[in-house]
Amino acid sequence: MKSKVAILLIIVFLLNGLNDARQLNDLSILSAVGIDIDENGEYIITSQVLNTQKQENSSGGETGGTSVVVYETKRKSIHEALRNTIEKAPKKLYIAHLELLMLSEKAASNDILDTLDFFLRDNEGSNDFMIVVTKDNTPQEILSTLSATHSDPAKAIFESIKSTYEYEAATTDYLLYDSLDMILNHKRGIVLASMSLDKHDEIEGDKKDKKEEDSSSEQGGSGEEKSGSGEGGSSSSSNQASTNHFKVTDLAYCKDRKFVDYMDKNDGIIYNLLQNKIKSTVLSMGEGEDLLVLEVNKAKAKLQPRFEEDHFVIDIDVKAEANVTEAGEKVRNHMSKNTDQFKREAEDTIKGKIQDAIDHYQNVYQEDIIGFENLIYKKLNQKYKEVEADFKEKYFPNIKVNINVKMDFPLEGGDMIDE
Amino acid sequence: MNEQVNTNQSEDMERVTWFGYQSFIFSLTRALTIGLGTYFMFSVSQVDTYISSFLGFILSLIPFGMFVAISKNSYELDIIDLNTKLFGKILGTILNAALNIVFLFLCSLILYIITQYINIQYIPNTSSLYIKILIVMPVIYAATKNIATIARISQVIIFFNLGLYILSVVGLIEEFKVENLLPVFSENIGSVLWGAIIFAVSIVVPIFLMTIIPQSKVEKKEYKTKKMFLFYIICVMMVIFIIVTTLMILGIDIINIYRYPIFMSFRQFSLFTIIEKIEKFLALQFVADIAIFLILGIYFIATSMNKVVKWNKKENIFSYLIGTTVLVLSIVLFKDGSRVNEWLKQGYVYILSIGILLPMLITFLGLMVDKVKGYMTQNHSG
Repeated sequence: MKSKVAILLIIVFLLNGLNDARQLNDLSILSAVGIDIDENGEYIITSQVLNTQKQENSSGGETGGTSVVVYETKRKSIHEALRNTIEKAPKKLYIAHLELLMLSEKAASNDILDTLDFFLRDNEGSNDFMIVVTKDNTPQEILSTLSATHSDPAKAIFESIKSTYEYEAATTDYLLYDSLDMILNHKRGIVLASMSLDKHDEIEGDKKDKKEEDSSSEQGGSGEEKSGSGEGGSSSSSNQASTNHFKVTDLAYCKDRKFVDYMDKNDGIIYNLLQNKIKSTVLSMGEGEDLLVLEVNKAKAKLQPRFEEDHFVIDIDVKAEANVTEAGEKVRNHMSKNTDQFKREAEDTIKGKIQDAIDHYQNVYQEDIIGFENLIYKKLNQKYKEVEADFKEKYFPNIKVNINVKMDFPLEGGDMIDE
Repeated sequence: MNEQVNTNQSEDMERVTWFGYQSFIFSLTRALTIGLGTYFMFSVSQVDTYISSFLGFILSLIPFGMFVAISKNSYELDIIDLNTKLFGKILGTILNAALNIVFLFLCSLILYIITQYINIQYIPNTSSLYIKILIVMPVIYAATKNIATIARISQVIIFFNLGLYILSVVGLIEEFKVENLLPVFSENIGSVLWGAIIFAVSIVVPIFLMTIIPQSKVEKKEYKTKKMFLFYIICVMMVIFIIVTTLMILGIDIINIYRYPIFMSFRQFSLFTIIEKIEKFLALQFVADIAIFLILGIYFIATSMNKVVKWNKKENIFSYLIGTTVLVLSIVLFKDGSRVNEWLKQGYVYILSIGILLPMLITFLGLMVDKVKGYMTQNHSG
C-alpha cells in the first residue's frame, strides 16, 4: 500500500502537466509570414503577429481590439530570422495558427521545397496555411501597408482568396498538404495563388509614410516593427486612410519547383475545372443583344488517357450545370425555343476555352500544369514506364486532347420568364 | 479446508477471461506495425504498400497458426516450461534465452521509438530521458501485477482505442482519394514481397508474447481456434485499413518525407469542420498499444527470470529489474536516430525472424513431434 501511495505521489508530481505549460500571454501568435530574399541572398522575414495586448482608446477605455504587429528580420535561414524576432517582440513566435505564407517572386524563384522545409519540420507547425506569391510587391510591403487598415490582414487575404476560388474559380485555395502534394510530385505542375496591392487605391499619404519608415529601418540584419489596429482602432500610421486594398491575382505557375510566371485567368479557371475543383464560376458569351451569361455551379471533368500510334490522347469529358444569370434581348426572346442551341453554344465555348488553355500549357508555359504525366503514370503505367525518360520533351508537347462537353441548364432562366 | 478454499479463490482471481486473452491481440498486432513496420514498408513497397500488407497478412497466417498450435497444446505450461519440457534443460534454456534476449531488445527499441515519437510530436522541449522514465514507471507497475490484471488493462485499452479508431475514420473519410492508390504494381515484385514479409513479422511477432500465458490461466471450456483466427483477421484488417487510408489521404510522395505518416494523416482530421486539430489525441491509441507491448514484454521476461532464479518471496523484483534494464538499454543502444533507422532497415526482419520466429518454429515442431509420439504410444498400448 505504501509503495502504491509513493508511486501515486511521484506520478502526481511528475505528470502534473505544468512543466512544459505555456500560457497564451506568453505567446506571439503568428498569423502570416512573408518571405523575401535580399541582394545578399539573406531571407527577409516579415511576421504578422496578433497583438493580444489591450489598447486604450481616446476616452481612456480599453478597446481590446485584435490588432496586429508586423516585425521584419533578416537572416541567412528562415528559422534564425523568425527566432530573431524575439529581439523585438518579447515573446516566442507560435506558428500553430499560421494562415498565410507569402513568398515574394524572388523567394518563390528558389526551390519552394527548401523554403517550406522549416514549416514542414516544425512539430508545432500549422498545416492549414496557404502559400501565396506576392505579385509586383514584396510581402513586407503588403503586410505593413495592410496592417494599418485591416484588423487582421492575413485573415482578410485568406478569406479573399477562398472567396475568389469559390465564386470565380480563378485561383486555388490549396492548403499546405495540397500544395505539398504538387511540390513533391515531379509528374505534375505546381500552381500557387497570388495577390498584390491594388495600386489604384494606394494613397499618397501611404507612400510618404512608407518612405519615412524605410529610412528609419535598421541597416543589415534587423528590421522594423509596425503596428496597426482594426477599423476604428488607433494606429501608428494614423495619417493613412482606410483605403489600402489588395487584390487576388492570376495563378502563379512553377517549373522544377521554381516560380516562373503567372497564368492567364482563363487558364486558371480551366485548371480548376480539369482538377474537379470548380465550385462556381461565371461564363460569358456574345455581347450586346447576343449576350448570354451563365453561372456554372456544377462541373465535373473526367480525364482518361490512351496511347495512339506515337502519341498520347486524353479524352476529357466535362459535365456541367449552369444558370442563365444575364441575357441580351435576342437571347431573351429566343431562350425558351432555342434552349438546346444555347446549350450547344455554351458547350462549344467551354470546349474552346479548354483547348486554348491546354495549348497554352503545352506551348506557352511549356509545363504540365494539369498533371497529364501523373495521369498517364497512374492509368497507363506499363506504357508510361516505356516512355518515361522522354516523356517531358517528346510526349508531353504532342499530347492530343479529345474534348466532350455536356452542358445543362436545370433552372433555365431562374425567376424570369423568357419571351 | 479454509486454506484450500482461499487458494482456489486466489487462483480464480488470477484467471484471464477469454475476451481479456484475445484483447492482447488487438494491441500487439499494432505495436510494431504502426510506428516501425509501416515506415519500413512504405520505403520499400511505395504505393504498393497496401498490396504488400494484404500479402503479408496471408503470409502471417502461418506463424499465427503456429502460435495457436503452441498455445492450444501447451495446456498448463507457458512457453518457458514448455521449451524445458520438450527439449530438456540445455536446449530449452538456449531457446528461452534467445526469446528473452530478443524480447528485451524489442522492448528497448519500442521504448526508444515511442519516446522519440512523443518527443517530436508532443513535448519537444522535454528531455527524452524524462519521457522514458515517465513511460517506464507505470509500465513496470502494471507488469508487477498478475496476468489477469494486465488483461483487464488491455480490455480497457481496446475500448478506448476502438473509440479513437472509429472517430479517426469518420473524421478522415472526406480526405480519402482513391487515385492515390494508383498505379497498381508499380514497384517490382521483389519490393512488394519484401514489404509483405516486413508486415507479416511486424504483425505476428509481438503476439508470441502471449505464449507466456498458460492456458490453465484462461477461463474457457475449450480453446476456441476459430474465434482466435477470426479475431486476428479483424485486428489485421484494421491495421491494413490504417495503411490504406494513410496512402489515400497523403499519397506516397508526402508519406515518404515523414517518419510518422499515420500521425500526419490524422492532421487532416475534421469532423463537421467543428472538431479539428486533435491529431495528438487520436494518436494516443498507438501509445496505448505500445504500453501493452511493453507491459507484456516485461512480464514475459520477468516470469522467465523467476523460473530460473525461483525467488518466490520477492518475485516483483524482476519486473523492476527488467524495466530498468529496458530503460538503460534504450539509452545505451539507441543514441543516433538516423543510424538506428538505417541499421534497422537492414536487420529488422532478420532479428524478428531469427530471434523469435525460429525458436517458436522449433517449439512448434517439438510439440508436434511430442504429440505424434504420444498418439503413437497411446495407440500402441491400446
